[in-house]
Amino acid sequence: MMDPLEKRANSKPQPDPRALLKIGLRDEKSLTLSSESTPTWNPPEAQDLDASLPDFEVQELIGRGGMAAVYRVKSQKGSLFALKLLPRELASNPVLAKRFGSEIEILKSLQSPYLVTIHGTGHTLEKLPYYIMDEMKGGDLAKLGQLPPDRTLVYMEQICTGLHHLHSFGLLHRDLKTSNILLNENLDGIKIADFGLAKSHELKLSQMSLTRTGTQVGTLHFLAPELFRNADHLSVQSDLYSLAVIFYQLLTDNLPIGHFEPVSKIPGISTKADPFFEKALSADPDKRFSSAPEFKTAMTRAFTPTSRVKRRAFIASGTALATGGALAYFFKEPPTLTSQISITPLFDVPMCHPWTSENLWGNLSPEQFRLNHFFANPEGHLIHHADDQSDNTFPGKSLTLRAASTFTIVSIEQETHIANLTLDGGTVSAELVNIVTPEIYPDLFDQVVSISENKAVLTGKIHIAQTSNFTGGRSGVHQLTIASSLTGSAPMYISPPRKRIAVILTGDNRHFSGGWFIQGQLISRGPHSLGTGPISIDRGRLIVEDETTINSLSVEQNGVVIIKKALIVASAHFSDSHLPPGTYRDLAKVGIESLTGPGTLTVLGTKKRACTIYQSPVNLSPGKPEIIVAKESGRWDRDQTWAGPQPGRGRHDETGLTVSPRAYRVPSGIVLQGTFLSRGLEYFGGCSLTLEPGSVLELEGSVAFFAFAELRLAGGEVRFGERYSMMARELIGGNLIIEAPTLFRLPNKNFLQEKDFILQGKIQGNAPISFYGDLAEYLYINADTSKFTGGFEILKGTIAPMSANALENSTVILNDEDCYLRAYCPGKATIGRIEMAAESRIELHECHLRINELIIDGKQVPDGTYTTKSPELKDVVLFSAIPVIIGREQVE
Amino acid sequence: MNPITPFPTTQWSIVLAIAPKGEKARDPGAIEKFLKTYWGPVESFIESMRVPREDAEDLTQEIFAAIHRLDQYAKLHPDKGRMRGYLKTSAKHRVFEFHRKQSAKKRGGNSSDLSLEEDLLPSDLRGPEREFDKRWALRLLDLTAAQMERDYAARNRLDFFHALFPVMTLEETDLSYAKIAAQLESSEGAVKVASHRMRQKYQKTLREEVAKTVVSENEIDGELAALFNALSRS
Repeated sequence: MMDPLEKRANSKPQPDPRALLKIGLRDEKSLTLSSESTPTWNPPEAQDLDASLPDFEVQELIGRGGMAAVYRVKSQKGSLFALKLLPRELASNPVLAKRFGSEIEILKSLQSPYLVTIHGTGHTLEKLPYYIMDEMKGGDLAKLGQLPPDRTLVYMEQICTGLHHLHSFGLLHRDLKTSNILLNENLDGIKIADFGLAKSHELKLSQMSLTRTGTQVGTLHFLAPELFRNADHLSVQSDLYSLAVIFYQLLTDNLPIGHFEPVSKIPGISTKADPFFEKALSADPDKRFSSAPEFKTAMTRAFTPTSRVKRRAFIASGTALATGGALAYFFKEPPTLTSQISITPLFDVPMCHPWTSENLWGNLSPEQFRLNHFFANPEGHLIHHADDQSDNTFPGKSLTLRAASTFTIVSIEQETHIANLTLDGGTVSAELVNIVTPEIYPDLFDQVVSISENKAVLTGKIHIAQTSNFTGGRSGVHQLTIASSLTGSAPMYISPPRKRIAVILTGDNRHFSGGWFIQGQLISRGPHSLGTGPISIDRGRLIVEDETTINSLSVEQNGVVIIKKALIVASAHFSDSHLPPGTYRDLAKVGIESLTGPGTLTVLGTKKRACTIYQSPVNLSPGKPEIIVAKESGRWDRDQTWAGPQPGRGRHDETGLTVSPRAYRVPSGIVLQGTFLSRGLEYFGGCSLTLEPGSVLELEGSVAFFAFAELRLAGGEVRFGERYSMMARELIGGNLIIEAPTLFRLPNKNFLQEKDFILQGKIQGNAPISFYGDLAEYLYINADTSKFTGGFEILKGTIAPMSANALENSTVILNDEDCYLRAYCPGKATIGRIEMAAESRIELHECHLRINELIIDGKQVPDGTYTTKSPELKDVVLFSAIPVIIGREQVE
Repeated sequence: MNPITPFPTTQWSIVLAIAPKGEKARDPGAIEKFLKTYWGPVESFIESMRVPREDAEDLTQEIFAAIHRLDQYAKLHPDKGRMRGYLKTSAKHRVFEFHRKQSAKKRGGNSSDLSLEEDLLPSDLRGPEREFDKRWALRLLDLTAAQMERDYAARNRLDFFHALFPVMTLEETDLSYAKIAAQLESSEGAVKVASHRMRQKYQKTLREEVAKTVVSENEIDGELAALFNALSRS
């Protein structure tokens, strides 16, 4: 069939296709309203509606929201009202119909001059529900734009009073925004409208704002940040957050996104207003105002005109400098930010670009910068776009990236220089996606949106204080070149395993003895760039480009080493075998699939010393052992989650993982969340975490590594947070003890998303692990399971052993057609027992697989050697050219 | 087309109506013909996701075969939305599975590959999707034009069709009806009326074609607008 484009190119001139499509339209308004994701509906014409409303004269359509149409109607007595109608297309949706009904019920129960008043309800002759309310001729607040502060205050006081009335009835509005605040004809009075989302608690965030028809994008920015994490975290404070956004927008005509401008920059507004907004827009609901009256009082106080107060903060720091004290400036949790720094409502992670931004550190003079040490605190995020700055040398004395902070470098031409960088658990990254977003950095986003090959280069000195992470990111074709010289003795982690992305080492690292744990791609350039520590490769790839000598090399079954010239190593281990001493020239003939390249490998001895960061010794800090129970759902690094001190972060250095002696327990009904959107390493700081039946551990990261000294799963569920990350892979490392049946759940949603769990470390216990996800969502097993007798039950999704013996002692149950087992390991692999439905599948590719016992639809397959064409395994085992061996004994 | 309903019955409606009872489609040939019309855009879309041509042909055939099987109809639901969206999603799903299998084959055989990670689909599908929508829109317009041409031929007014269709979208002020009238050996007034009717007929025919790809008649304007936007962004 000829392609329409080709056909058009060859034929004579035709009418403009767009004009032709336009002829087809009955309603040209659709051109602006249409969206792929929203069901289309058309409000009935006024005259059509008039025919089905005998009690009113329908005059005209005066508004169309996402969920309803509003008409001006005249009653039989001649009064004018507004009539809000749920159109036919939406009335057939039970959720929307229920929502409309609940809006009516709520309005009926409320009487306030500042809330829309309902005058009657009914159904049209076509059975469409409607209600009658006052007509507000002034339109809504969204149309007014920026207003003078005094006028804004008049409106805000009325909104506060109306909202308090609503709250005093135990109701929440949940959808406050400027377009839902209606104005009277004289523009001096408001009414809060649109209660369609109030009260109905069963609605989820997705229904609430993301998929509403015709919803403007801006709506999202009125939502309190906790609702992004969990739509059920509704409170008076979430309404008050929206209220603060409305207030900010009216004053500035901007939304408070990212590092928004302090309102005191507007003439006539005192600096007292800045802390007001800091509190009102706090990411932590508990730190906001507790009620609408409190909000109103503080607002009035902050906006009472007084003489302008000059900021003294910088004078204070100047004094400290004068006395010789070196100040440390932080970017950290929201409550301790200076008045100029505000957190973004979209992510409660403080981010900053550029690194000298006064929003971040305060307005420091060059001299102050030069003399001070700077720290990025947990979840802080610095972004430096080197091509965009005139000076790419960090101006401070030193920069320290503390645990779970990130430093992202964007550059395709310029080097970035930090004279003294300390990595104390932080991440240096070249990733751009989901980091530089248009919401937070509109200008920067425009500059970097087209960069698919970031070539970040870092120079200077780096001290590794505890295990930290270099990553090229997980999208694009990025490179992160570390030309700095490294010192320290804690192992470094390279992530994530992506073929097109590399971390390149070029510095002289002879004084770095920590070694490398490689799960990504590491390219070593220069004879001393790998340092003197041990190297472990687990699914990653190491490319050695120069003649290099290293201490030890340990390569797991899926790791790869490519030697371009010559590598001399004290000992070399591949999977479970070690290479005898000697010089190996033709690497392809050595017979180890993981070893390749044109160079030579010289092995001097056999002593094994692996670099591990997930099975390392656990050190308990001194202290009284105690058990701390989670008292409410929330993040594990938040005090209010626990009835005692929070676990904090464990510390990983050359001696292993150091954690507190506290044991943590999560009782039934509690959802414990891992730290938000981690991009690197997260060491749970307690000595043990127990999930009791009915509890949930929710992990969310980009390519994160969550490690536990001990994770006891006594039932409950380990699941994936479903916030916004497109690709995410959670490595769960440490000692996992399965005490009762536990479910690992992935979103099972979008097959384009990559969301996986990788279980590392050691699994023990005798209860089963079950797994539920999409077929393209994997439960990877890369752990030592030799003492685990519980087995794996796949309810839906794919289980993938990643080493020869990952499932050697396990039973794997594949329930039905949506269950796959995929043997990932080239070479040999053994699986203890598989019980499967005939519709389930085993995928392998040139993997020499032995299955000790195979049961298909309840029938045991006799021991023997089978090909995929054998009738017993036809359509059950896919892709393998190599026969599969069934049975414990070798069958030839 | 069902003569009783005031609006053109959508193709999805035919598909859905037969599902619960498991009866055969009233005119399976018509459905097949209709589906094959959109074969081209789907195939190009699949190819644009880095699938070799021969495999793209196979995958396209699989998609249409699946839709055409009655057991698949039973799984359809009005939630599937517009047929264009449904086909796009099906195509992406199959391409994903295709790459998954391909990469799995590769992984087993080539030890220099990293075992864990492959970029199975291009990271940004907006381009290919836009292209798909564009081709879909043009295919729709071709179908409509062909139908119009057949109708005019049936009424022996093919000369009017050839004279007026190419200028149908032009503003009246840009047109010389007198010239066209002379060419058709007709009066200027008659040509104006014929031109007006052609626009009306075109609207009806186009909407009927779109109706075949959406769940309800209410979605036609939305679908036309979406296609209009797809062409705008080219």
